[in-house]
Amino acid sequence: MTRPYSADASEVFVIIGAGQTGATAAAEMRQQGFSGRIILIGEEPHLPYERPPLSKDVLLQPANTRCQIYPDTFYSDNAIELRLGHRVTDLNLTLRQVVLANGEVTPFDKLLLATGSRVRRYPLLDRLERDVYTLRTLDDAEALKPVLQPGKRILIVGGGVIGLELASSAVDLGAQVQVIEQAPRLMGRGAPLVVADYLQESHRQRGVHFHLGAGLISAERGDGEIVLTLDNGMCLSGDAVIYGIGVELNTELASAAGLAVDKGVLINEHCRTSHPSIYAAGDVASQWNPALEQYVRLETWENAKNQAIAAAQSMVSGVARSFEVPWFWSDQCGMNIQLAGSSVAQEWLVRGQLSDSRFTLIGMTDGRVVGAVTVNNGRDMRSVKTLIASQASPDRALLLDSTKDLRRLVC
Amino acid sequence: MKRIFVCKTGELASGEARKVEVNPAVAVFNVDGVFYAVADRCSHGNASMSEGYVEDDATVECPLHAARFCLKTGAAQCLPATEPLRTFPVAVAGDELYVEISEEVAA
Ligand SMILES: Cc1cc2nc3c(=O)[nH]c(=O)nc-3n(C[C@H](O)[C@H](O)[C@H](O)COP(=O)(O)OP(=O)(O)OC[C@H]3O[C@@H](n4cnc5c(N)ncnc54)[C@H](O)[C@@H]3O)c2cc1C
Ligand code: FES
Repeated sequence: MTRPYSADASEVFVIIGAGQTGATAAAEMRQQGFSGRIILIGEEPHLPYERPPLSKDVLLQPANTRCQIYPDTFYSDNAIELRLGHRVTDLNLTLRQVVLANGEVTPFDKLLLATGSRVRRYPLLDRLERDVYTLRTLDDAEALKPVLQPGKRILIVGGGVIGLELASSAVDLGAQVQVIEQAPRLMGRGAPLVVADYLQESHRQRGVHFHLGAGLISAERGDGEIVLTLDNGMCLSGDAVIYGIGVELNTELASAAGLAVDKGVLINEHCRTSHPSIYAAGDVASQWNPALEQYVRLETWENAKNQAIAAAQSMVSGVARSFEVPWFWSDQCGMNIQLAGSSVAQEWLVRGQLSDSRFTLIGMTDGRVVGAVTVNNGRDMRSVKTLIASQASPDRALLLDSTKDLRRLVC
Repeated sequence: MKRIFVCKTGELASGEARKVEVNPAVAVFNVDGVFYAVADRCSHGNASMSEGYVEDDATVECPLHAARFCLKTGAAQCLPATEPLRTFPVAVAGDELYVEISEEVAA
């Protein structure tokens, strides 16, 4: 069999980080016909798994939820060497080798940084030491299971996607939930206000209490409970605090190795860093987008998958796939919400009714489709993504007519 | 083998799908006049493939997280799904569309 791009079986590709990005990239390298060694190194002890179910099905239906990305045998079947439970402590560009915490040295020809991100710590809350939780890993999710129980009073700090998904799961599990958010609205980073308001109302109807525009002044342990004092003077007590206030990027190895880092590890269109043999993808990477003329960093499942595929293609054959419209989903309150393109638009058109269980919002700026949100209406997503990608300016009346299939506007 | 009536062939337009409420449910598709039937529940999670996006190349995209499946073989073609969907034979008798389900599945 001919392998035009990489015939040298002695070539070694090392991937640091065995999350969504690392695992997808390893699989794609083989898909592309790479015949050299692939070594996938990850700090976590588990086979690569998806994070999205951690805040949802892993808590709600632990018995029938598998979040592993590929089956057990996938790695040996594809000759992907796993080094799990090992942290890389040094990346040496001159010697082209990585050093693991146990002292083991692994040389490489090309390397992919897929180190992702970690929970941003909140020292004020961490000082409580007990009954304070965050969620990033499978082990974190396991630790939450005994906490999210009927009748438990849960204080969630942070009204972003993870905080809200946890609020939803906690309510499903019978807990009483209060959400504290510093900003005056929810999901400030990724969703238009109409959607944030819609979600807030959905959670409220399920019994969640919100404290928006409220900063934390202190966190103390009282009589068998935790008491949070807000800057509006309120004191909230609960049995446990869970916080989700964003992430911090695992860029330390890249910075120490002298790679260009500006918040994320900077990569070009082909996922290459400032060093020709080092690539990066996923949460940790900030990619040059020629159309937008700026670096863009995304913290989504789809970006992890797509950038991993692009990076693998680039490492194997020097060419990578083109960009796609950013897209992510959130499952909460029994609803599936999908957001594509920009979360900022001059106007949001509603296809259907906000009072219905399913509808689509289409974001318009200067007459063009720039973003979209589907609520329980994933079938519209493919069509609106196409409209966003082509910067289409379709007829408003047609967009608003939910009896007409959006697909007709596309072809 | 149990033969279950789906609908009249004329009632299922190309690019459309219909959920058949057997246990577990089956989704029947029309792609350019060819009918296919696969398990309705996505192998990745609790989604109904009958609400998915049907492509001309006889694939369907999950409405929840966009995994794509081949309607002919049931194979998962992209993440987040890796497990296939079960496929079922379809039969057309006159203008009536049926799906055939083995007793073992319908149990
Ligand atoms: C609870 C939760 C729910 C989510 N839900 C959604 C959702 O519904 N939709 C969506 O689109 N996105 C969601 N996301 C976001 C999505 O999961 C992330 O964008 C994705 O996981 C990024 O993948 P990654 O592989 O780049 O990074 P990560 O998942 O962070 O993986 C990086 C891996 O690298 C390892 N690592 C780091 N440094 C080293 C080192 N020095 N040596 C060895 N290993 C190292 C880490 O231990 C980690 O396992 C969610 C995230 C979380 C936490
Ligand atoms: S439920 Fe179908 S892709 Fe997740």
